[in-house]
Amino acid sequence: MVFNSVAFIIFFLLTFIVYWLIGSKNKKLQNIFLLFASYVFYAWWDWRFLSLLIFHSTFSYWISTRISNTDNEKSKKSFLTFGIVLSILILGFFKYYNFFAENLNQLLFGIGFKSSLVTLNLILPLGISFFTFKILSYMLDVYRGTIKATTDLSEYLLFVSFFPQLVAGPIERATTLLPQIEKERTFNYNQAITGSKLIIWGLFKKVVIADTCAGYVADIFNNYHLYTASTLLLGTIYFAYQVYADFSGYSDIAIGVGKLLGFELMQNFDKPFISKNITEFWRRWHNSLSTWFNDYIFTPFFTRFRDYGNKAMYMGIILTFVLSGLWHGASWHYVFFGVLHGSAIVVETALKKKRKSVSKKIKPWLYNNLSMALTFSFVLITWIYFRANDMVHATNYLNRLFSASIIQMPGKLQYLPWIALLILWEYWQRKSEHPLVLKGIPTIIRWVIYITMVFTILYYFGQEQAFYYFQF
Amino acid sequence: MNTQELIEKLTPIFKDVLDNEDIVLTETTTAADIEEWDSLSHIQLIVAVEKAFKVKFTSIEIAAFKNVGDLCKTITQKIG
Repeated sequence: MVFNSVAFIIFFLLTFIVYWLIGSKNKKLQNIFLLFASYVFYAWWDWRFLSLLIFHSTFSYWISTRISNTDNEKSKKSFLTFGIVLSILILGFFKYYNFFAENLNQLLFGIGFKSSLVTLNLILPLGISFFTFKILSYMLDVYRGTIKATTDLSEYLLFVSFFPQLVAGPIERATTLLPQIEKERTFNYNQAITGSKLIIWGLFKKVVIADTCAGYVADIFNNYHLYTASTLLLGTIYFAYQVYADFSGYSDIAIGVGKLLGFELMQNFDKPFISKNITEFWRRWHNSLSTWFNDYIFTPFFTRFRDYGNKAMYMGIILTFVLSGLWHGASWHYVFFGVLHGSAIVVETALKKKRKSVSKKIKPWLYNNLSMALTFSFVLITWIYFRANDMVHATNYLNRLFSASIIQMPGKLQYLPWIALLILWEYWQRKSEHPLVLKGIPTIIRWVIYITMVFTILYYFGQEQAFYYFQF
Repeated sequence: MNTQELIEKLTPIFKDVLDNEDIVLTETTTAADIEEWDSLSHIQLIVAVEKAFKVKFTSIEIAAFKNVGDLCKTITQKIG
């Protein structure tokens, strides 16, 4: 069930009504009902994988309880290792087995052996990368003592499978979500209104901007050999806004749905395209994933090997981004995307002092704008590797992009106004809590805007395009 | 060494690692108060502090530092 479907709207309306009819006095029943709704939401897509989700979360509950109940440091570590290994094996089997088998076969063939590891026809369980990361962070947090293990199975299961963020994040931590599940939630009118506006804004970005944009992007990327370099450049910009509108739209809907149920979920995006360097970009883009990698991969790695100084830091950055690339998909072009971003951050870190002294010599507005342009250009180019079907496709696209036809008039300009609208709107509302606050606008006009937006969404509704990040 | 003396000794280390001459440390200073103090420079700070005071922190101690006061307390425990 995707957020932009009629099925979801009916599902959510029913959930919303029953949930508040049960009422906050019956918190336990409310939680069990939410868990049931989350399982229906997941089973709607493929009921067979529901058992995997239930098994994986129940297993991690058991492991975490064991970690928490023993005082013996050694057994704590053994339970944690067991939990991590099994979680990674599950994720690894569905997501990386074929990648591993193909590459091993090729490698063995290359050195003269005939290997016959068969590749399997596997379906990637929806949201597996997201909920596995939630489970891993919970076990690690319990082990580190950041949180106490919960003793309520249904509350823990709800933490893992809470439907607004089950299949594409934000990858919420137990430290912020579990306390909200444990306490009573009361219906708050203002919170519900903000939630509804976020859903409208999210759907607008997804259905009107991203889905329409996707067609242009697919055309330009698939038929890149037929287009001028300038059109290919436009294609990369379209892709940037497609994936931004798609994923930040999804996050807005998730946060909005959460608010309607009395939950506050974390922000995942913060105007990523105004970043002045790549380090900042990853703080503004899919923040829940970046902080996850920072807390559970980079920081422990750098802490452990800190005596090696900068070498350990640079190694840690590259390792983190290679893994982050792989998290997106089992393919070399994702790994390369990660290596490019990791390298950029290594260079930025190495030149930190130099950059600071340069920034003092140039006018701030010039330095800031140049930094923003440079960062955005880097993101555009590396995203070719993200969007392409494979490495060869990306390289061919890039070769053609850097050719003489860059000075020709680009084709496919007709989509540009939508992107301009999105940029201008977000700039206009940049100081508001979200882009539909519209403070200082007369009520009548505000309502005209909301209704126009809803009708525009309905006009474009119906194709039920999956969200881009569902594939990860 | 009392906390004030420790903070006086820590200040030049922070200024150097974070490359910011305007830093004024107090017991309650946290990473949120200093723009340059991020997860990356946090560990660089730890390395510099370990060198300067000839101490070694455990990873649990490092993760538990919430402000400069915490850091001072742990250093005091180590150097006695």
